[in-house]
This record gives sequence, structure tokens and C-alpha cells, in this order.
Amino acid sequence: MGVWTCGRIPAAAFAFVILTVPVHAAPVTYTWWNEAWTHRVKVSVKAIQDERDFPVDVRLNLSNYFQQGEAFDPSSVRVVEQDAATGAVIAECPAIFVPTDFNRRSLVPASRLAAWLSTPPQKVKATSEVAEYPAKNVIDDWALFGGTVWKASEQQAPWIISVDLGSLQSANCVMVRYPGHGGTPGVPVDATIEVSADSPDGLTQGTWEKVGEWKNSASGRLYNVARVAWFAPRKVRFARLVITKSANGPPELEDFQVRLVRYDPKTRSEGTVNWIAPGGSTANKERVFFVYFDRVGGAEKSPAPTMMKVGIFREAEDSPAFIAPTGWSYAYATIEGASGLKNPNSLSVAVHPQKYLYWDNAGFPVTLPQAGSYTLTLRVRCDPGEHEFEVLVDNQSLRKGKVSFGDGWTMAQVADLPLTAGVHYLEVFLMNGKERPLDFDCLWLTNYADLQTKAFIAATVGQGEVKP
Amino acid sequence: MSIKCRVTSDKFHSSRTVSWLLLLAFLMVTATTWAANFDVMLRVKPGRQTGQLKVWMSDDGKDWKYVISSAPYWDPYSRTGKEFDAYLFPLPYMPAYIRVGVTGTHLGRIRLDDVEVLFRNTPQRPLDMQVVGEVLDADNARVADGQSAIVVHRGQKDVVDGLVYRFKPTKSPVVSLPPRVSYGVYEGRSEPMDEQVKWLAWFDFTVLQATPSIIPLAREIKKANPKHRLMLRLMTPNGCLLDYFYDQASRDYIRYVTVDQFLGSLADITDIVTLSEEEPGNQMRGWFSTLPADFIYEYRFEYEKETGKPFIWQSPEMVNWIGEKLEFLYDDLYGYIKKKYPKVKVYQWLELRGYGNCSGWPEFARGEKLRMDGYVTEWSDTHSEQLVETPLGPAARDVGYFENYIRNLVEKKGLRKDQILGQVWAHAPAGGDVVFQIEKIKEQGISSIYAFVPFMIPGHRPPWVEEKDMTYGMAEWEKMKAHIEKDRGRK
Repeated sequence: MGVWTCGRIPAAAFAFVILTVPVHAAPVTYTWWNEAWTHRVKVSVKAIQDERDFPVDVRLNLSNYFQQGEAFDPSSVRVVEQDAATGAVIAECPAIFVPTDFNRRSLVPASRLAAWLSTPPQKVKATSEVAEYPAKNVIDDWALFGGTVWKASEQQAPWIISVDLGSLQSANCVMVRYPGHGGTPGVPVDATIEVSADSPDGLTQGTWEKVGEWKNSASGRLYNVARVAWFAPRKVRFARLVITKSANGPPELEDFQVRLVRYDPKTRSEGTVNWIAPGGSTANKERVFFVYFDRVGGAEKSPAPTMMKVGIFREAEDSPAFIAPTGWSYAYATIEGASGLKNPNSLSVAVHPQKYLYWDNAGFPVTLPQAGSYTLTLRVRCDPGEHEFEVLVDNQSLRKGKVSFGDGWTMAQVADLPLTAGVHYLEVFLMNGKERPLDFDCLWLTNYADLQTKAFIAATVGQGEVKP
Repeated sequence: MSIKCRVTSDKFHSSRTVSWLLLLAFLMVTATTWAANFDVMLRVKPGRQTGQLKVWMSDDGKDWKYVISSAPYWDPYSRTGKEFDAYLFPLPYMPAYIRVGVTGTHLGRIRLDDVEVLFRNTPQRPLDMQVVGEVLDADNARVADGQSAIVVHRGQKDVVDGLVYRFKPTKSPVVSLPPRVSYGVYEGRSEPMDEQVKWLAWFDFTVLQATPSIIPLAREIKKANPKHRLMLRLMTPNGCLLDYFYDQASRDYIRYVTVDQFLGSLADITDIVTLSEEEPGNQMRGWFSTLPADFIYEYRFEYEKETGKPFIWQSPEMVNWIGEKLEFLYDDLYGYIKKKYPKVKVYQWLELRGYGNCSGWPEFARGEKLRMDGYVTEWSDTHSEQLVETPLGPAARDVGYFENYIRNLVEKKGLRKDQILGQVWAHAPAGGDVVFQIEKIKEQGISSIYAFVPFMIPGHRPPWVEEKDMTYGMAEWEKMKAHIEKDRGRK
């Protein structure tokens, strides 16, 4: 079988992850699993310790494999394990393709007032505003912690503030941040985040769709003044915050960000392929999987096997980088012993010089293919002993309690998290240590409780191939 | 701001006779290509190949200046076995005395068959010869007869063993004085502002870190000294080059936060802007990590699509790909500024491929792809001894990285010397005090020199500067001030 070319782009364009390249005395010829599939890419998986039923999660841009006019068919994705020594097919593994649901790198949100344009398209409206604290303050500061705020002037709920992007755009995230917490003035206690494509006045009229909400913000988590709504991409022009309850006076807001999808799914099929490597794996022994896929309109395919076990993997540094972070005091850091394919490779919180304990969080968009009871596994490191934690999904606290850390990297698990299918925003809070920094390396979200992963699992993506 | 190229040679530090250095500089600066003609060449016929031979020259037989060693000949010999009949060493002029021999901690014997000087290709025989230290069969070094004198050296650090030859000296070539120099300082905003204004306005120019707080400062400096040239260091966000290339919204934002928020209100009084500083060191932070830097890894699919190559971290293909993006970033910003603020000159501060860098970074960007009105250089006393082609054969000469870089900026980019800024280090020891560094830059004909003494207003130590560093910096400043005042008095 040959390495394919698509147009003028050679097929070598496939391999994107380089960790260690296995060297074989003689190349293995891998059987082509099924003639109905035209493309495949090899994924080698290696664990550093013995593992069992661990999730594999690789990110691919499948658009790169097709010529102009062709389109990748997400439903065609299948994963097949093949023998690393003989190339023979072992078994098909249930798998899913999830379009990229995170948006790590964007220097500027679509809502940021484009002061560099003679006529910035972004506009802000509010149902009321104090003259010295106009609504535009929520989009016109570019620096970190700009600090200018909107203050509503009306005393009675609801208070509404809305951002007009100026045109229809593909968005998947809204983040709002308010300046205080607890007993400070103007805390928005209850609110919904809504989007619209057709509002005539951009504030109250037209069709608005709720994409996020929070309730009773004054209780629960500490020191977090940002609220995030993450949702499946959709075309929107307006995003608004409807505050129905405020503490200590009319609400105040500091930042309002509407984030666009990194890639339009119609033009770029980038996403992750997830599956569970079934059974036991021996430390440092390569297991080989192939991701088979095809273009839209390809040969008829056999039905995909039902995916009973789901495993989502996120590296800590994949948490969204808002210009103002959702938590505070954490930073991306490169530390020895952390996992991952790139730097920086952890979120770290330094020990406070006064030994002051505080919370910190890490947020991640996750797309779940099915509802169920999920287990969250965290690879973390801090002082040995018990640490308080809180898990929130879509601004709702799902679990609070304590997890026990060992000496060094610990796989801390929180089981029985009831989650629905779809796009969610997962936040994890952990109590910092007194002696050692809190290092958060990565997490898995699985719908089976017996995940006993002990360490990061490296997946190496090889060259793509076309059926000979 | 970090210091690069701190590798230094002590060879020049111990000999600072300015006139001699000026002569040497004159020859180096006027040499148009590496295939150079030299008026005066010492020719040594070795009895056996060696890399340990050293050459000194003197006008009086007492004060010796080190010139060069035969090490550049040893490298090709040791690699290929190629023997050289004679070693050639360009000299700045014909001195009265030339010493050849061995010194240093290494042990060894070298064999010398003959020594003479070629003055405009005409051999000049020595008038006399004397032994220094331990030399066997010294008379064999008087004629080229295949018989050698043997110089014995026993590894004493400060002892020279060898031979001193006397020649009929020529007149020193006339060297014009260096151009009039304007002096500046690199600064950011620091308190108290009135003191900072007074301090900065004393200089001929300032390279100011552009932050929002320098906008009122810049105005006050111009008020205090209307002749003061204001230069703004415009800093691009670190790790933004791929966002800038691929994402128009990011590009617009970067242009605004880097350029417009400063030039929008200061273009009327700004003479020069620099695009970032010490690049690629800031922009490419993370390059030396074992794992790919995240801001590059994020664009791996673009890399694969454009190059047709697998994403291999730090590969030569990736260096080229990154280089194209760096070129785009800084060239595009140049064009953007020239269009919106045409009176402002734009200087690049990005290492250029093939110009003679020694920072350790890959050479990402090609000079021919970058537009510029000028360039910022930083003093480095790094030297290497190399073989250069001459009509008489390969000759060994000492090449300073700084002078080499200046030469390339002139020859490859067509810059004039007055379009080049030279930075000296005055905040910490940097291989020679600040005056020495200034003199070295002057030798290259650079007429705008500034000191890196950031945020150190005399008498006002910022909290982030340690007292010992402040003390050092202020002592350097006193030297520099005296030097500048003397220079200004040279009117």
C-alpha cells in the first residue's frame, strides 16, 4: 500500500506527534481492515506502566487528508486494533469523532471592541447604566484585568446587558466576569447567558436561546468571579446576560467575552478520536490502532459498534486561555514529570508566602456522546494528605468533598458524577498546599468507574495512508 | 532583557592602546570581502604543522600586542591531513618587532623553518632575530632551508618561548577619527517622573520600552530637550507569530496593542521605533524545550499542510517554516507602520540568517525578507580565529562577531553605519567596562550608542534592582558620563 498524496500535498503531512519513534528490524505490513474504507492513520499507544481499559484520545485534522471538493465524513470513523508484530487485525474498538470543542488560542474575543478600526462593529447595550460606569466598559479594555465596569442604574430585576458582534459569527463560548464576590456590591447572584441571531433591537426583542446560567453565585465556590457558558457552535450575532437577582445593589460587570470557534466544522474537520484500549496493556509495549475513515459519499459502511465505554482526556494546559482567567493565581507551567505532548504541560499554583490557602480552578469544555454516571480522574501533585475539591459542570456544583493525595503524582478520583450528553464546561477546584505547589497535570472523564490509569499514556500518530 | 553572547576573549582586554585598535579596525572595516587583500602579511614556514603558534607585534619591543594564532590552520589539517607550506597572518601595518612562539598552559614543541613579512607582496627579510625563552637550533629559523628551530614550551601560563624578529617598520596608515557619536539609554517608566525626565533628557536619545505609562513621560522629555531623539521599543506579544500569520483578528489586535496605542499619540515626536527586542529570544520562548512549545504545536496541522512534512519539533524544516512566519510578522509590521506613520523610522531587532550570530538560537529569518530603516545591535566581545582567502592563500585572522555582523548589515542589507544602533551593557559586568564597549562600537563607525541601564535613575534605586547592581550600574554610569562629556567637548 502506498502513502497517498492529496493534490500537491504529500501524504507525509499526516504525522503530527513525535515522541519516540519505534525502530523495527523489519517493517510490519498491516492488513487493510475493510475495503469500504479508503483512508487510515496509524496510532501507536504505549503506557509506561501496566494499564487496563484506558482511554485513548488523539487530535487530528482530517481535512488535511482530502482534496478540494471532498469532505470528511465523521460517521465513517472506525478504530481497529492490529497486531504490532504481524499487522493482522485483532478487533474493532468502538470509537467516536468529536469536533474540536475547545478554543485555546485566540488573542482577542469577537466581542472585544476593535478600537483599531475606524468603525468598530461591536456595540453594547444595557437596560440601564450609571453614567460613570457605562455598558461599553465591559468590552473596551484590552489589558489584563482592565478593571472598568458596567453598573446598572435600575434597582429592580431583570438587568440585561447585551453585546452585538456586528455580524453573524460561529460562536461556542461566552465568558462574563464580575468584579466582586460574597459581600461586595453588585454581585450577580442568578443569571442566564443567552444568544440570538435575529434580535431586532439587540437587547430584548427577537429569539434568544439560553446557552448557560448560574444560580446563587454568592454561595459555593470562593474567589471565582467568572462564569462560562460553553455550547455547541452556532451562528450568533448577539449575546446577552440576563441578571434576575443581584446582591448588595444593582449588578456590576467587568468583562463580557464572546468567543468564536477556532475552526468552522464545515471547512475544517479537526477534532479528537476517542476510544478505549480494551483489556490489559503491558508497560512500554506498543499497541497499534488504526483510525479508518472516508470521504462523504464513499462506499456503504457497516454500522459502527455501540460505544459502551467513553473516555475523555484533557491536558491541564488545554484549559481555555481567556484574557482574564476564570480562576486566579494559576499559570501554565513546564514541570518535570508532567505528561503531555507539548509545553507548557501543567497548571500550577505556587505556595502562597503567607501560607494562605485558597482555591483555584481549571475549566475545560468537554463533549460527551452519551449521558451517564461519570468518573473524574485527576493527575495531581501537592502536599500529601487530604485536599478539598469541588467539581462544577455548567456552573453547577456537582460534588464537594475531600480527595487524598499521596507523595508525588496522584491519581485522584471522583466517582458518580451524573452528566448529560452534549457540550459542557467542566471546572475543577482544588485546595492548594502549604508546602508544595499544586500541580495539575491532566484529567480523564470516563463513564466507567474502574479506570485505574496510573500515568499518562502516550499516543503517537503516524503517517496517513490511502487504500492501495 | 537578557544578555546574549557573553563569551568573551581576554586577548583584547589586556591591550587597549586605542591607536593600535583603530588601525586594526580600519583594516577590518575597509576590507570589502573575505577574499581580502592585505598590505602586510607575516609568512611563517613551519617545520611541522601546529595549531599552537602565536603571533605578537610591537613598536618598541616591549609592549606586545597579541595578533593571532595558527589554530585556524590546525583544524583542516587535523580533519583532512592537508598540510600548509606556510602560514599567513595579516598585520595592520609593518611593525618594528614581531614575536612568534608559544605561551599558555599547554605543553609542546613547535618547529619554525623561516619567518618573513610580505609588504605589498614584496618579501621583507628580518633585520635581526633574538631568542626568547627556550629555543633549540635557533639559527635554523633564519633561512628557509627545511631545517627548523625548535621552540620548547613547558606549559608555564605566563611565559613566552619563541623568537623575536626586528623589521624596518612602515609608517602607520592614517585613520580618521570615529564619527561624532550620539549617546542614549534604554529605559522604561520609573518613578519619580520628574527625576526621570531630567535624567533622560540629558542624553541625545532614549530607547523607551513602550508601555502606556511612557506616553506622558515621552512628552516631558521632548519638552525638556527638544533635540532629544525619541525611540520606542514596540514589543510584540510573545509567541504571537503564528496567530499573527493565520488569524486576521489577532493580527489587527497585535498591530493595535503593539503599534497604534503608542504611535497613535506619539508619532509626531518619535524618531525611531524598534520592532520588539532581542528576537527571536522573546518571541520564540519555549523553542528549547524538549516538548513542542504550545503556541507552535497548536498550528501543527498548518505546518504539515504547507510543508508536506511530519511535525518534527526543532527540525530544519521547522526552522525554515518558523522563519517565514517571523519574517512575515516583522516585515508586515514594518509596512503597517510606514503606511500609517510614514515619518517614523522602523528598526529591526531580529537575528538574521548568515550574518554571524552567536546567541545560540537557530537563524530563523532571512535578511532579504525583512524591510527596515535600520537595525539594533548589541555589543559582544566574542571572537573567533578563522582562515580567510587571500590571493596569496589562506590567511588566519581574528574575526569579531560584532564587527562581522556590522559588515553584513552594510554589505547585505545596504545599511549605512548611521542606521545602526549599538547597545552597550552598563548594568552588570559584560566583558569590559562601559567605556571599553563604547570604544569598540565606535571602531565600527557606529554613531548612535546607548547603554542598557534600565530603570536606574541616579539616586533612585527601583525596588526590583538589587543594591549591588545599582552600585555597579551607577559606577559604570559615572564612567560613561565622563566619556560622553569629553566626547561632547570634542566639538
